[in-house]
Amino acid sequence: MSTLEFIDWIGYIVGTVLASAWGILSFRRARKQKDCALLFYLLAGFYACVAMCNTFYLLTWIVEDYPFVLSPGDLSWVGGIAFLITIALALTDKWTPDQRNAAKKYRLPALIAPAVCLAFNIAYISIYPDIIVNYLLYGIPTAILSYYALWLFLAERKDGARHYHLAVLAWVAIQLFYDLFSTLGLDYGYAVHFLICSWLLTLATTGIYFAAGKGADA
Amino acid sequence: MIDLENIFICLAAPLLIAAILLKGETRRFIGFFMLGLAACLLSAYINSGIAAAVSDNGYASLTIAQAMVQITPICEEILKALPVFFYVAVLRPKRDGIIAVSLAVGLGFAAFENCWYAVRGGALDVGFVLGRCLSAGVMHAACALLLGCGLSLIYRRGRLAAPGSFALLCAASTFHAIYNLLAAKEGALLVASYLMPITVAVVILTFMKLWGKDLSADKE
Repeated sequence: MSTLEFIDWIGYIVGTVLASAWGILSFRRARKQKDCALLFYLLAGFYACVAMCNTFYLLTWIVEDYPFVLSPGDLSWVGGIAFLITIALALTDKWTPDQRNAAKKYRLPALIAPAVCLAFNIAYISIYPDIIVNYLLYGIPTAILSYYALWLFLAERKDGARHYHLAVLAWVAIQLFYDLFSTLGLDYGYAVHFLICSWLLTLATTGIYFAAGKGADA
Repeated sequence: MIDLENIFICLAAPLLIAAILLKGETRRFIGFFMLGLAACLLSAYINSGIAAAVSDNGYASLTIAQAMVQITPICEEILKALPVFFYVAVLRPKRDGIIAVSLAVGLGFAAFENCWYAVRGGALDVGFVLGRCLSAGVMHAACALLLGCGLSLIYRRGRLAAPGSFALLCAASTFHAIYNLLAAKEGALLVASYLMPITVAVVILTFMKLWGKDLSADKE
């Protein structure tokens, strides 16, 4: 096992442990902050998905000697994205009708985010058309998430909730770079850039917990 | 050769009589338990069809064992979720009702799967059958609880229902896939597959025992 492969493994294990810890903490906060319990239950769901995705990936590596190219672990990641979208929508529950009307004007500018996401993914598909399903599976939900994150970031008036949407946007951006380096590095095995993005993604996943906490407090 | 349909009839016939004679919540539970049996029967057809289709198909070429890990859990969880989604969308039930219905479908599915496994396997060791059936049963129940508890929280929140339901389905499918991945192996991994759902079920039951009131008392 090379040093880079070892660092990658450690990254997955750290990611799983951290996601499990943040999931349990989210569940505890759901009980304490009853006025926004749903938000933290959803956040616990997001972390459960991240932990299960990493666990599945590691297990296939251990049990099958190689990870599956497309697997239910990827579906778990998509489930995590769906949880993030649900949280973003839950944060708008207390909006007034006026605020909802005012938010409509940001819908069009917010389309920039999914356009960028899809552009990245179309580029990947053109490089590796064989794994189009993977790119669509990750690309489309990520594009939808980025749309909601940017739209609600622009339309939101409370700083706390904006922190959450900003954290999600950062998470999406790092994921795009992660995909970029993993796509470009497919033929070269492990690369330092790929590992840095992998660890940054773990950091951004952690950051969402604190940002969602601010969103709930707001 | 014992057909799947015969097992289904053997299991469903007495339950159908019970469903006719009983009323209220018990009838609903039995009805959805039967739907769980039907979902398992349907998934057997679909899984074998999909496995045959992808097992010799270029890039996506999979062995039957790999298809069991990659495709079966997704297919089974979707089929188990459909009756629950229908119940929630059409009948707009109370929160506790959703959890009970989801659990009934999951247990029905597990009952049929265990029967088929025991019949197909012939004279198996009692300890092995007990471990396998208990773990698979608990796994299906845990996935059903995950879906039911989650749906009970989000189904009346309009815009949250669609992405939330999808997310829950993905989470349940992955949990199921992890179990299948381990259960297909032998030795320590097989033991781990037995222990995993039982551990998760104990955790869920502990949470429900301690904080179940919070879930049902939360604002409707």
